[in-house]
Amino acid sequence: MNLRGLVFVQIVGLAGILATGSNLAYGQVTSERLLEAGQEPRNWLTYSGGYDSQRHTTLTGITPANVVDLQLEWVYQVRSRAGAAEKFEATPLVVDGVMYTVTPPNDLVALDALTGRAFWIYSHTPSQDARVCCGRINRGVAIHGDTLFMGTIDAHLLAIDARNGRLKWDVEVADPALGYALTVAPLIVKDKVVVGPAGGEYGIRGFIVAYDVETGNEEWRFNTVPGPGEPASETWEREDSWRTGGGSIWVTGSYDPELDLMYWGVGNPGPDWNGDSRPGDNLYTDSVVALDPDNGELQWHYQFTPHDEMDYDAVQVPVLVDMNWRGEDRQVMLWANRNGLFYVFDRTDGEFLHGSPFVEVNWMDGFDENGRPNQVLAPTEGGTLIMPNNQGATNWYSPSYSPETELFYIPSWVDTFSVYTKRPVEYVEGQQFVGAFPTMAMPALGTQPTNVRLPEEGFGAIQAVDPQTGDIEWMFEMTDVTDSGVLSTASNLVFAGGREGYFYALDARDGSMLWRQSLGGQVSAGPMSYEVNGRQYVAIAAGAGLFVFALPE
Amino acid sequence: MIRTLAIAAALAFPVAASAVSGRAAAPQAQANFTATELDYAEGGALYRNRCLRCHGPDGVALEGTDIAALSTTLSDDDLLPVIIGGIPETAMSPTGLTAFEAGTVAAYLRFVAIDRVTEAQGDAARGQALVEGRGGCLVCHAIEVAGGLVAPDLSDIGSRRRSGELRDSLLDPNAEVRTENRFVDAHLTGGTTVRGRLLNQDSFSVQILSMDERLTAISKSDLEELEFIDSPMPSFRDRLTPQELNDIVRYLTTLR
Amino acid sequence: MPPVRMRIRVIAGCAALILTGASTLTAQEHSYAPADIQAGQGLFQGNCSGCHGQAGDGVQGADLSSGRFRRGSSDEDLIRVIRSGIAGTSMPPHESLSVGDTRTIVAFLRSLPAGGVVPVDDREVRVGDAARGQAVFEGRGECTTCHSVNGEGGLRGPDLGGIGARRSPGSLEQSILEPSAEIRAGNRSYRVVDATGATVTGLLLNQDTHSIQMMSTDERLVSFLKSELREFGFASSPMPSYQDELSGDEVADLVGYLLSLRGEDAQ
Repeated sequence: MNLRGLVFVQIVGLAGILATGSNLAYGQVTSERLLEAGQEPRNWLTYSGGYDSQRHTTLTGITPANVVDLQLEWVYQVRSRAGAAEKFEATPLVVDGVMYTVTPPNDLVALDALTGRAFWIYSHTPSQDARVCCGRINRGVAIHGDTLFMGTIDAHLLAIDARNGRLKWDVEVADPALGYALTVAPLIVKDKVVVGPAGGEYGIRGFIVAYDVETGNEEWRFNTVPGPGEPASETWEREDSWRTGGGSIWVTGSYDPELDLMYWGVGNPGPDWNGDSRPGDNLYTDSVVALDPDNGELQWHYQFTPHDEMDYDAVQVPVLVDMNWRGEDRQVMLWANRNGLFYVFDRTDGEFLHGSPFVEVNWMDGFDENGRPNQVLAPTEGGTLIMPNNQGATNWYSPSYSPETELFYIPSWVDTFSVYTKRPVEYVEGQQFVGAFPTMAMPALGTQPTNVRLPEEGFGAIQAVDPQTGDIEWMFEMTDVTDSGVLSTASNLVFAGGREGYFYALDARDGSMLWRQSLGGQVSAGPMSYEVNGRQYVAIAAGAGLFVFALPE
Repeated sequence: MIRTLAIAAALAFPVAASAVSGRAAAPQAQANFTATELDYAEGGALYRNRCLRCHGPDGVALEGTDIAALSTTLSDDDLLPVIIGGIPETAMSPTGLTAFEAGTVAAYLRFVAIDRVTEAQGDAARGQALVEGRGGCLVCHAIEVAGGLVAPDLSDIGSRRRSGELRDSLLDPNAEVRTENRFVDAHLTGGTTVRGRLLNQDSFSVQILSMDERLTAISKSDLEELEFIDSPMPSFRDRLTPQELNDIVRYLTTLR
Repeated sequence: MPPVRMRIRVIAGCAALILTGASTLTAQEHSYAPADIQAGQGLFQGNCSGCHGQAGDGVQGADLSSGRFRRGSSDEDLIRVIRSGIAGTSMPPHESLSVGDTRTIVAFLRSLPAGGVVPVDDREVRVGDAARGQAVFEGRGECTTCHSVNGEGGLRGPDLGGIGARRSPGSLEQSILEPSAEIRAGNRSYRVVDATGATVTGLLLNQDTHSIQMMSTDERLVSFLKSELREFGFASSPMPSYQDELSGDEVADLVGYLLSLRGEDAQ
């Protein structure tokens, strides 16, 4: 052991000397700080950057004029064996110079936001019982006080000390052997941590559940698939179909502190592609639900795709905007759905204000006065071509709203289709409960890197939609599709990427490309921004790496 | 307000891409619907689970009852009720399959019949001579170490394709082209064109294996148009006698 | 400030062992109190000598008295082999042995003549009353200022929730009386002085050529660029020695209490 060259200093006694460094303005992340997250843009305190989920930063260090100089600051490589073939979907949090993110499968890491060096890593080894339809996915953590909350793919919710990565409590939310998994970044509201299970391909029965942040005690539970006697149970007309009805939760909801309402998007009904065994509308699958965060009681709901047989999960991030909408100041919710339609709601009561397609849509041809879609196509035994395709016109990828441009930015799969074929399906515990897989021209990234698709099979884009009209103001096209989220900035930039592995800075006003960088792995996460020592950073996960950019000092 | 689509026109595309109806023109005339690849696979699986124990892998295990041959002479209207309902007072009991499932079994049986005929009539040694000689196949295709690189490697094609499919590909190479075997003409702004197999592309570049077997990358800024073209493989319908066709198919099925 | 004199005990006969090849290099990481060796001998007789013989040389090709181990050289390696067994051989797992107990078996093996160990510490280790020890731990010893037990207590020192399952009486006593004698890699203290002269001390979490990551003594995650520091380096353990602070009986009780902590972290 070679100890030469090291400086040894002796500290006497127990008394620590208080830290005074410039990046040490650290405090607990109280509920009040979460409410006022917009007041401290140097930090990124929730999955979507704030309770309104606009994924918009007011940091303006990086601008359309200087973004051309943006350069790589550091990279954190994940340590999972699957490497870049595994999706790295987490959005990091940054709290006073410390970044927290989750690398596959469930490794929670605390990094120095300045250098990317690790403080500590908490590794959770998921149970062999875990079932994963779509990869060992985690979308990130939530923080409250000094505690981080991470869901695991074996359906546990863990409370972990943000200071040393030590486990505080661990609850099993549901049985992983039945297909329940937690991939969602939890949402903190007041003194509760709220999550729900993925598993819509395993015949789960979904729910949204709140735990006490301190104790892990369950406080309330809202069943996204009502059982007998519960309201809306009549939308499951066949006896027992609710037991395997799906309604998964896998993207973080939003919260309006003024209305004291929490909003969550709910996943597909089970089985996915043959609804014959579950006649009825199948509430609250493919819906947005507005819940009272204190007791989980439903205040209102809207179902985007009644009796869905196309796997159009409504697992999008609800974007809350206070705006003058068509001449009236309103508290609206903007929503681009997997089913190809862009919606505007009054989020106080769920009133349907607007719906229009943002890509080619052929499964419906209009709405009735209550906003119920008029469905004209569904899977058949001989196969039906339906647009958009099974992965949807958008999906869980975070959209963004910029109060500067008043535009809504949607990661889009444009003009795609699937042929849906109806096949018999039988429920077996712990096995997929889906039906026949629809055709898909764009498989997920595997070991083959090729894109040899025909133009008419669809393409990817970032689209800017005017919430007043639903009109597409601009579209930035990519040859391959995109699973990337979008970040907008107050300096009129939009950051996003795609499966090709490019990460872009676009002009938020017209979509022109101002900067791009190839990251060598698919972007399958949302970008975020933070500041340390007065310098703005932008972070994005791609492939098996977390990449952080800044302007030259 | 809703942008609708010309469904019929759009529907034609994926079905043409995935259907195999063109391969077996005669027996399909009796089918009530166009079977897709998925259906053949499903039909094969159903056959192995429900029929094989009595009828054997080739459909001839019961003496005097060659169900593969029967399937090519009966229409779906006659055949499906038998598959579903069985034949009273015989060992052929009802299967309880849906009409659709029975249809996939029928489609599968017709394929077995075609394969059998083709294979019986071919001579592998003569086929090999044709593939390596007059057929000119190795100009583009490779078998083991010999041959070209631009077209798909055929070294184990017999383990991936039934004889009926091989025959159809020889007669109508464009009927079904797998996504990884798509060819393009890259028309450059200078007026030249690079033809080859498309390997990959993204928003800014295209990667091609050109016909002269060079890995070629082209920036989209230098590209006027990327044109997807028909397979450069010619149809052998008028170039080979029926016997020669059977010989080549027989040879290809031995490549495993 | 004077540098800390690190106590690195090199195994007697180490040089000779190196000559026999890398795989036989015996890396001893601890000193072993006679009490540990004695306890380990008892466990060895009960659990191992049936196959390995009283002297450890009963299995051909696996002479434990040789000081050369084929399945690893560090204490941790040996503990793992003993507890997990060796697949495909007649060496079964011994999962019922705690890590702490297994460590005493390793101490015994290391003490065999060819193991090359000369016990450096011939102190007698007394194990006292756990309940009285807990009172010392939470009271006069002020241990909870820095250490936690199952989540309760300070963060800057290692959590002691499962310490009784991982450590032997001898090593626990030594840590109380001589805290800087042996510090595990994850528990090293560090100190930096920035350009303004402000000093931060704490637990070293990570470092590279250009930066340092620590948990400061006020339990915050802090990072420094070395280029911005006036001074930085390892510090001795901030834990005081209790040699003159506690009586012999109190130390014995404390050891007894710590040994009783086999909680959540017990392996």
